[in-house]
Amino acid sequence: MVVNRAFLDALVAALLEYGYRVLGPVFQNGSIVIDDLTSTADMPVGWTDEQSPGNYRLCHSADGQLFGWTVSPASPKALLFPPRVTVWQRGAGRDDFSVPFAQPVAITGATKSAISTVSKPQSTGSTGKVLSDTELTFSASGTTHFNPRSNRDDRHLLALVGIRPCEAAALEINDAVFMKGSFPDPFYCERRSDMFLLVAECASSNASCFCDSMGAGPGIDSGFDLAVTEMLDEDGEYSYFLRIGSQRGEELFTVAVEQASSIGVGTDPSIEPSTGMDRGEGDGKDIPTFVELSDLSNSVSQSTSMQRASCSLNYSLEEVLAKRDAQLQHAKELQVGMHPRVAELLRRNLDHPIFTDIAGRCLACGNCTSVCPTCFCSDVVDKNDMHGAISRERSWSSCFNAAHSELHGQPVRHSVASRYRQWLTHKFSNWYDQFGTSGCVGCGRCITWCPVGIDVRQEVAGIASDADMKGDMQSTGSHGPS
Amino acid sequence: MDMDRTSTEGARPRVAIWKLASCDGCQLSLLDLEDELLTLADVVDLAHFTEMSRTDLGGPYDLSFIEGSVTTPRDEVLVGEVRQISRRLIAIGACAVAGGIQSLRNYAPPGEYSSAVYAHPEYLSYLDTSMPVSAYVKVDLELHGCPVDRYQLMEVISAELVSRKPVLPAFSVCQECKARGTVCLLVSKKEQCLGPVTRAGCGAICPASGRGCYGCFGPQEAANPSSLSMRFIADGASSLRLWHLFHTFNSAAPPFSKEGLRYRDSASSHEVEGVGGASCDS
Repeated sequence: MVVNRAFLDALVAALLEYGYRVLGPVFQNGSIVIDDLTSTADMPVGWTDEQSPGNYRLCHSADGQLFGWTVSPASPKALLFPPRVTVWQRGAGRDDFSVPFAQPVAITGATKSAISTVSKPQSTGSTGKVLSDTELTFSASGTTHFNPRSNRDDRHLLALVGIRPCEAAALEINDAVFMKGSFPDPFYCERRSDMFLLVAECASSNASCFCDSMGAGPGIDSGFDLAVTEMLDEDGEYSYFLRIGSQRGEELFTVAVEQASSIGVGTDPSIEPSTGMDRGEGDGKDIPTFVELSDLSNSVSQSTSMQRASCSLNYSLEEVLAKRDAQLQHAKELQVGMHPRVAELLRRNLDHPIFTDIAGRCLACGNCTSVCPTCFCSDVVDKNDMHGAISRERSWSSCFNAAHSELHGQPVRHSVASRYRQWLTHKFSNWYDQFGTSGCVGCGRCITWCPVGIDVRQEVAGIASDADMKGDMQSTGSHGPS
Repeated sequence: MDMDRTSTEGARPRVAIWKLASCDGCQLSLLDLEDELLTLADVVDLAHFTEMSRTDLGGPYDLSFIEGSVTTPRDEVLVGEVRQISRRLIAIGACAVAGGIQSLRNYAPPGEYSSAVYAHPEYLSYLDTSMPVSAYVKVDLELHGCPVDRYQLMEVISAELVSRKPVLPAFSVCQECKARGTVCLLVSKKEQCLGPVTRAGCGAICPASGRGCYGCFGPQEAANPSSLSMRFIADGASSLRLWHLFHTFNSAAPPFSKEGLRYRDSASSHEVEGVGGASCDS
């Protein structure tokens, strides 16, 4: 169905009422950050971004577009995999041992049961499943260091509103790392299993985007609770094609409809969930369940319709789907893609001289791995303080740091060329061997946020053109990283 | 140090603080620990710390923190003596680690800086160069920054108490920016920020305040300043600006020293520095 912005506010309000901590792209101090939001007014309304290798600029226009920007500088990764956490700690008193990392945050039973969790991933909820008995004995108290920047509320029930299809795809990649392996991450599992996702499809792409070639956007067909596609109406206003992707999404939607009625909009709460409808053309995936409401446009007065929540089907479904397809197609056409056989290409060119060439430009600063929505490496250290307290702390690490490859006191990867190769080949090639998928979703952050604008697509294309000249994918560079 | 010694009452590590050519800011960072000072006095013997007390318990010392660069003949003698009476010698701050701001004179004609600063430079007695402590004696550990980060000082002392290796980052400031959620000033605002080539440890305080990193912690482990300079040039930085960017507090640190010199000779004092910055309508 098609809804207006006020209805999105009703959705946000419903999430807050359910006890979710609602997070999303927020316009703050001249940039877009992932932070708490209370309504769509907190979002980057009217802002568009220009991104290209090493460059990012925001531009404002007067119109009320919510999703005119492409991807925010930071991915939601930090919410599930925080930059720094205390895994366990023992105070100076020697008996106050705690495991803040694995500590479930208490939520009221009413809240917990209010929204059913559909397709709940394994090893959720109870920390007993992921911690040994010994460890559980000690997990009596403690606090979670959720965000080092603030002391704000640290509820684990999170709703991400307005994230992009590539970011939803990145969460699924992260699930394989943090949730589905032999050692599930309790912090991640707790938050991810109950996470509510309202995904906003992309109507445009920036010059760093390449989600299409990674199969992670610009549209989304699964892996969300609710999805919206922002569309410009003929009258110059924006409306939102809303799809429901889970039972949880449907429940939330129902509540929002009730809320919208309670604030005086003549909505018809009768909901008829219909079965999945085929998009007609494309990748053969079904669009998740639609919910159609009876046409409400007549019951909402023209003058106030944009101020009040409306939830209606002003357009025919065919019209909406055609418009959506055109938008997604437009976004795809703006993209410069990644080489289609990148995994094999890299595997065959480990000693390509291009790695030495890149090392001349690479700053080894780790911006790419920090902004990457799937980079998951961390460093774990044990520390004591002067009072006698001890703690084990986990923090983000990067394959561009010498310490990352330190074995018996010395780094294995001395050269920056070898560090870059490690990053590139893991992300685009070895990830398949390790997790069965690509490690990249094509969000393009590593390109935009590289201070010297190193573009992975271009570097891989360089290897590919060499391989083409040699007639196969084999290249025999003699100046490879050492 | 062995574990028994730290756990036995009365055998606390004996700590000394020394000063060469410096502003005292680094040793004052230890006094800035405020809430931790009483604990610090409990766990170590502050045997020689003239900013705190005239009492001197005498050496030898387990931990000697030394600030300042070796700039005068007196410094040269002192640094040798301190090494002799110290089990571990820890150079603290940009002066002790990379020559400090005073090492700018290493790259200028003799007497140029002293005659600009002092009314009667003929009374001065100084060495030809301002050099880090490590240029004269073996240093066991270096803490970077102008000034040093007080929590790193505390980390070194805490680590010593249990004979572990202190946890000190060698990677870039960028990673601290990302960890605290600061949006990159270089990419988003074309600030000439030295974060990508600078060692972490400060917590990325300058970029968080909207100002580019000016590199006071010196080069990170894999610093590539020449590539960063090319970016700044593309954004309009002049040779003068680049020279000034790299030749500040750590101008005797080889990667910064070399990069500054690369642009010094082509720099003209009439140039506009080109300090960057970008907006939507630029």
